[in-house]
Amino acid sequence: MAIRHLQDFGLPIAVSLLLAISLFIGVSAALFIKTTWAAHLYLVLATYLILPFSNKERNDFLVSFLPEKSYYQVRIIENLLYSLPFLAFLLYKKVFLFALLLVGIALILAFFRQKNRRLFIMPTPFYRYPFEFIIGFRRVFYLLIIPYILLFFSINGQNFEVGIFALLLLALICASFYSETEKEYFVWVHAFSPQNFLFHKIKTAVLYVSLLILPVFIAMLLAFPQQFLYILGAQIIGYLYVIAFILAKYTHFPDNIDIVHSLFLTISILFPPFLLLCIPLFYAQSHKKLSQILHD
Amino acid sequence: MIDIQALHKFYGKHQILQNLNLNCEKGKVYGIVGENGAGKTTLFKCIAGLESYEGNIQSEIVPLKDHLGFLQTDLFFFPKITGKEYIQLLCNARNISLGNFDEKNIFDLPLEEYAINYSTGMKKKLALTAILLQQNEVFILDEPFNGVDIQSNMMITEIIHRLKKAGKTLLISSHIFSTLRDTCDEIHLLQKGTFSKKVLPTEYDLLEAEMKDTIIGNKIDFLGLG
Repeated sequence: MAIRHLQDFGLPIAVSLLLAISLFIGVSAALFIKTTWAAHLYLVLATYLILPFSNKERNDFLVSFLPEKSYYQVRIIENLLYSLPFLAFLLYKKVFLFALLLVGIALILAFFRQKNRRLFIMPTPFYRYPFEFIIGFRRVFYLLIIPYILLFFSINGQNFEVGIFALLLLALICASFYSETEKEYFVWVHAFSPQNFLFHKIKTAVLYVSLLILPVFIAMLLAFPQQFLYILGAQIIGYLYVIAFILAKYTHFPDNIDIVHSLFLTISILFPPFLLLCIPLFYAQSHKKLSQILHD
Repeated sequence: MIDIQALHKFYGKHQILQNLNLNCEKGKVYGIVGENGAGKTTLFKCIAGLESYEGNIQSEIVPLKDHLGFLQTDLFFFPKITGKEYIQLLCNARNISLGNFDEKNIFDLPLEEYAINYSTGMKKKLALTAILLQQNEVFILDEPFNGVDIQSNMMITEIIHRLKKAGKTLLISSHIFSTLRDTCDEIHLLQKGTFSKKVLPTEYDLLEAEMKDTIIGNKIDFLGLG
């Protein structure tokens, strides 16, 4: 999937493959250096990637033409294939128990099929201003639990860095809600100028990010009052991450964000001062693109 | 109200619309008929400003798009968004605050369910409800009757009459001729990207007979159905 995205940017398959592998190894290595929870996060991430294979429509389609035995073979093979990069890295890191757990999860999920999607509609506090937060929250609510668990361990173990990581992780999860480009109609329908449209998006995001992030911010302040400035700085960087993602989304609208802007975002995440360059640049480009659809 | 002059549309070298001229007045309903691929949807997208074009489209209301309710033929719904949230999104886009949702749910849609799981007809009714609640001045309804049950068809026909009475301007396309006959002040026949005929209500029967003759001809005879 990642390779296909890279190919969409116009890269040859070999380069896409090399980039995807390098990116995966780089992020994984950084994760295992930065946190002791890397193996846990790996399990969650791999499960998150495998879960969509149990989608009801997809499985109904597979069942409709595959014999039962072949159906389960396909499910097991695709789950194991998707787990393979994670499995390889876990084995390389010699965390054999987690590697075994991952294989177990992949195998068990091969026998799992989502039931009728109408059964449960998850309520969200974001109903007033659809749509990014509503969709994002419903899609990855279980990932949102991770930063809060990390916060608990941070305060419990008096580990300040883990708390800051939790805060930034939460902001990045929220920022990822803006990674998908909507259909042109849903921008066109707005009776706003490009400036007002972007301002409205940012205002909504800041409001909704605050709903999720403020409990972490306050808990951190209470646990580490002497680190007030660092916590505030992380909070501001968190907001800037989200703003950068929003603006980046419209730089090539209605097309998806290109590889250069994706790279800029990645650099900004790793080196936040870069946000000060990215945000004005993305704003100017988004404004220009949106002017073709919205009125000034 | 809306004045279309010498409208041309090209996709590369392929010309989709050729020299279209149409004047739409306030409080009138205009039907656009034509075979698949005649250019109806492209014309609507040009009027809405969703497609670039050559020529002129002028409107008394500026910008037209901010007062235009566009019911598209290929509707898109976000995953994990309920019917209610879809309506909220479209109303927010026009700064319209909604009061009691339930009494505005005229098609009795399950608004608390995900819109993506709705049937084709329900999706159409949801999209129509949303653009009606936007309080637009101009409506473009691209195939509003497609996939909709008979009761809702009657409801949509009545809505069109009410909108007309309220002084709104409507452009409608439909493959169901009777729905246009019941609602339109004039019908324009779009063939291969050009308006080949403008028909007034007194001539609708003639147009229908002519279309049957042209479109069906003796093609069905080749199937040997008896």
